[in-house]
Amino acid sequence: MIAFTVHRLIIMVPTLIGISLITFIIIQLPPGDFLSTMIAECEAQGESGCMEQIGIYRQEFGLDRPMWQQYVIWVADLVQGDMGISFEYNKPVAEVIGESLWLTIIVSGATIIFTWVVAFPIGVYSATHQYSWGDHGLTFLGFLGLATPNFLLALVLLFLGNVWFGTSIGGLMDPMYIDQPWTWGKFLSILEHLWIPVVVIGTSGTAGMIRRLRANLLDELHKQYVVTAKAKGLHPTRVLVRYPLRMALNPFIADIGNLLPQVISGAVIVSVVLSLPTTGPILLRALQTQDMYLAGSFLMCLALLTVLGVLVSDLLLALLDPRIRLGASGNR
Amino acid sequence: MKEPGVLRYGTRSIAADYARAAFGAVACLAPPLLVDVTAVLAWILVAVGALFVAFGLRTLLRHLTVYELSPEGIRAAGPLGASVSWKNMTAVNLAYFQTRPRRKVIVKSPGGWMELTLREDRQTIKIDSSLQGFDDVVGEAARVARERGLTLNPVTLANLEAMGFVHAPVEGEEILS
Repeated sequence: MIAFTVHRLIIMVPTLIGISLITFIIIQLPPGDFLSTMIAECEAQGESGCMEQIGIYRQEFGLDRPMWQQYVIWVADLVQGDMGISFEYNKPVAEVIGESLWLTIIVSGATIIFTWVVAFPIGVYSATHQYSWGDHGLTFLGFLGLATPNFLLALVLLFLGNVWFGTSIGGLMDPMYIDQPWTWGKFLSILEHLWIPVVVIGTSGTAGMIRRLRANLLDELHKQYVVTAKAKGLHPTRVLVRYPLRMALNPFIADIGNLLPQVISGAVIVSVVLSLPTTGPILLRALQTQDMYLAGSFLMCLALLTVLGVLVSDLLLALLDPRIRLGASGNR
Repeated sequence: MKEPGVLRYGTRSIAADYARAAFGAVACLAPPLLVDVTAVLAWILVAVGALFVAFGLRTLLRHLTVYELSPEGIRAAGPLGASVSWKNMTAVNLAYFQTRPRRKVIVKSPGGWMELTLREDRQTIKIDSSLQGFDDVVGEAARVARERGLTLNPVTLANLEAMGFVHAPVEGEEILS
């Protein structure tokens, strides 16, 4: 495994360099920058002092340098753990993201647990009771979950949550707890509000996971070794748990690659609809205002987590199922 | 069964592994040593760098180890000294590792390698497909496993089949016990 880990880590280096390059170019592509907007505002207000300040900013952040030099400086700072300063918030990027990161992790963590806890038993049941009424019913619910847009489900649940449970509309806590230190009441308020974003964000993922698990498990259950084991009189549960279920876990593990970036991405559209204080809306705002260090560093964090997630899932898959996959011409 | 053979890792694969270990160790350990990085990042880089150093040491040990394949078993002579006799072998595992995206691949295409683990009580020998004569060792291990009715997991069976060693079950063998 050490050789596999080392090979995979080395492959990550060019991947991350490529991602950083693409991220930087995309952020620079729109005409102008954050300071251009500030200049326009200054001119509109007829202020003279702020132009000097903008000049200082331009020099300080190296915005007067060629693009490749800006890229090198940005990457060199990133390697040292310095994500730069957010122009809009006038604070280090780490501080801007840090404030909402914990809430994002709480929402995303709960969503991941919800997805796995719901999808796993349903997927196993659907595969082991193929074409039963239960399988048909759960399949129907699964397709419904896949087909319903998240933002629509968010609006419906917001309404129902308010009418049935009296939960305040939007946000992740009651307004009285916003910007307050952590207390038991604040925690309970978050728990009270948490189920709506968890169900909204998790529904489509759960439905997709059920379909993949069912398909994979059915594939395994029809293999010869399972038939042999059943013919030898092994208990059905033991036959299921020993290998087929282990093999069918592959989609769960492969999904870790997607889960890690989700933990901090904060499901942008749903967060905007539900007014969640997560990182998603911050990224959206940074992209709109061309807050290059905030947007760039955030996108780099997402990319890094994606690459790390894929690494973790690859390592786990290599541990769980290190078999060769034969192509058509490779069969013999 | 062939006459006793001496098997070594190929020079190219050993050189490539040294290069990987050196590149990784330098890339991870240079930033914390040369520039001012945050404490968390420094710890992460040092940990990953240590992994590359360990990989370098493991490559050195492989470089110094010679394997002897004989009708009685296989013996690793050198710092990684161990031996497994065919008559006392208790487990055979054949794994395939692939660093490219997990899609269907053609056998023996570059980008992946096989790893064979042979066990006898407390002795373990682990070799991979960059060892010259790897196929001979796998073939012999598969033959002995079949004759002695050793339980092989589905992954090992699939990989043996991919290498052309069909492992048909023999009388009394438990495929899934």
